[in-house]
Amino acid sequence: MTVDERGHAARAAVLEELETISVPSATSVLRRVRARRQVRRLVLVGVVTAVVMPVVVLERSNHRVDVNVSGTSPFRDLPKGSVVSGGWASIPKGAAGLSGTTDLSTIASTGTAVIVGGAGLWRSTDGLHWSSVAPDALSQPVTAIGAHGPDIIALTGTEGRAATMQVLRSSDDGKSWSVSTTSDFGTPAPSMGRPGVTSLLWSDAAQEWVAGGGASEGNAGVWVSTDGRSWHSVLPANHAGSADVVPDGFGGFIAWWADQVWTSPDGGRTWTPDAPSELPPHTTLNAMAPGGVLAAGVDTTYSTPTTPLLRSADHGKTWIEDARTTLGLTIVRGFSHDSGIWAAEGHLSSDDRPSAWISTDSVNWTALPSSLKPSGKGDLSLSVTIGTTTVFLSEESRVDRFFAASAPSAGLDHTTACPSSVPRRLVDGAVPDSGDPLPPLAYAVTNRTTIEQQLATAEPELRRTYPRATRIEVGPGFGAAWTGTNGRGSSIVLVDDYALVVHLPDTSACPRPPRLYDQWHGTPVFYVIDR
Amino acid sequence: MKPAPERHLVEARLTFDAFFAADYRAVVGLAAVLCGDRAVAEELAQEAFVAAFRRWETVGTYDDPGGWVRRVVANMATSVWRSRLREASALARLRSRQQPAAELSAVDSDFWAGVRRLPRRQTQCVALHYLEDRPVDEIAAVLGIASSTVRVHLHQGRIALARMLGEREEDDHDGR
Repeated sequence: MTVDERGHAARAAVLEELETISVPSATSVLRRVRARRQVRRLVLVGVVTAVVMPVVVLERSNHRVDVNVSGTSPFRDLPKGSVVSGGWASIPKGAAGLSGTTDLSTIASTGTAVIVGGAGLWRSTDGLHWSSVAPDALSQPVTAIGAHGPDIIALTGTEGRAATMQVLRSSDDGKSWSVSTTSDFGTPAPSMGRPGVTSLLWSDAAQEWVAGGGASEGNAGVWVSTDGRSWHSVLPANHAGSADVVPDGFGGFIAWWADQVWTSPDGGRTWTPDAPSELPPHTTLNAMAPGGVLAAGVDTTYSTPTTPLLRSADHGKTWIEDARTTLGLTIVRGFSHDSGIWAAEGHLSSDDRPSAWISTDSVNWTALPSSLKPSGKGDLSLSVTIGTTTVFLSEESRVDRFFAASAPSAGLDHTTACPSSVPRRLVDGAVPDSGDPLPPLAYAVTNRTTIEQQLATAEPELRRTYPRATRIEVGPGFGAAWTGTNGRGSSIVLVDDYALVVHLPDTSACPRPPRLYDQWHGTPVFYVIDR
Repeated sequence: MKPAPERHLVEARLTFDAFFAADYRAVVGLAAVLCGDRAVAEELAQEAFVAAFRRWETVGTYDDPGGWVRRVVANMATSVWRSRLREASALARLRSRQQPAAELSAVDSDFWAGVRRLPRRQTQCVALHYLEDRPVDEIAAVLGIASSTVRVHLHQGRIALARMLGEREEDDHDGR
């Protein structure tokens, strides 16, 4: 046999096998490659960690220099070098106690403190001044932080071929940390940044920690743990590259990846099979806000310079572009929603400069002033609100400043903010959601056979709950969950199979998904409370 | 009606989609014979297609955008990517055990293993010649080198393969 004959035979064999390969969509490939690059960055962060960590420890708070900011600035004692404009501030990372050129990956709030992780671990009680709280034993980059009251857990990425990830635990609001290790996330595949946990949340319903990210075998992963030390996988095998997890506002969770969504109504114990979201054409999810009612899409052609803001009323299964709301020529990388303040961060697609926005209704947004943006390119992707201060940080070390917004000074009254989601309460329980800054807007109605009986029982409670309501109606829903207003002085809440509409005389303009209210409007109402 | 720029994007997207669907398997195949691993090959192919997409306004006007993608894949598969993605090979094997998928065992044959042991340019030329049945001029266009250089690499590659495989080389292949 000649070399040519061997070559032709080898070619035929390969071509035959190639026919068995399924061809993915171009869209999914674009997203997958993009995600791979992101997780590879996490591995690079690990390398930086080993070099930067000793310097970070030495720099603990040494750069903190307080300055007085004159005028109407809402910020006091800002670090040296800060620049203020209106309700916003641009603050040098180094002077604030964050290592100036350090990669950051994750942020979480306990309500009284904010913890930032990456190539180190930092704590702040005001979002403006930071101190390193990294334990000496920390040797890997922190990729996810979750808080439950004063209890905090942080997970690291794998380092090289290390078979273990580090678990950092704090029970004193992040002041001190213990370090242990776990191998429960799977065999490391460092070249793919796996395993890589990027979301870490506490489940009140399951009394467990829930972690989401990319599993070592290449698929999306969600794991749960009661103590943070031992973990087990709960998300079934799928074809996604990673999973970000957000709370659904009902005690459950939504995991998402590109155009796929999984839901866990029981607090993370079990998950629905992966299913594609219904999205506008050429759009996949780029960031999802807590509650699963707001998301930022991305044009899968990677060419359209605007981010469509999307709204969902069905736990992320269907997303509708909200044409009323625009953040301009932007790419949104992340959302947060704390203390009644929505925050969005990303960069302007026109010049790749960082940008950030705050809002109390997720419809009307106030942007970081142009005068505060650094001249260089960069992206913001982390935000959190503590008190009335919202902090925005970049994962990129090249962005050596971070940004803060004071909602009241930026013209936002967060005390009238829209809730992020509908509190899940049974009508017959009739328990207001005392955790919400507003009177509760809804009670979930879950049993059709006893609905009227339940509502009759709950009517006094509903009247107390909505003292200003002119009318409360209950009618058929759409298997959806969402709260907002119709823009005409009514709040509508769509809960599971039923809808509860509370007519208020002067409801603020909370967001509503297009179509849903209009679909509901005019349908038979089977229970009415008139004032 | 959408504004003109968006229509342009949509049209570009559809063109790229068609190109992607038509060439994906072949590019994966080329990457597979060059690197010897299906999962890594898919990664390389996907990276190459994304690179093409980002330059689609230019690449899409080429007579042979597939050639451009193949050049990217050939260079990636025989460069530092090979070592960087070696660990992903182990990952892919692990994944294949957990999630049965179509394998490309044919790329493990002695022939392709021999091709991968050739010097870089010889590997690229021989792979394009035998896998894609491309004539010398096309191989030269894909790799951006002279046709005469391709002939030399093919000739030397065949000699080396013949020695490795214990076969005889055949004359007069390069003139197509």
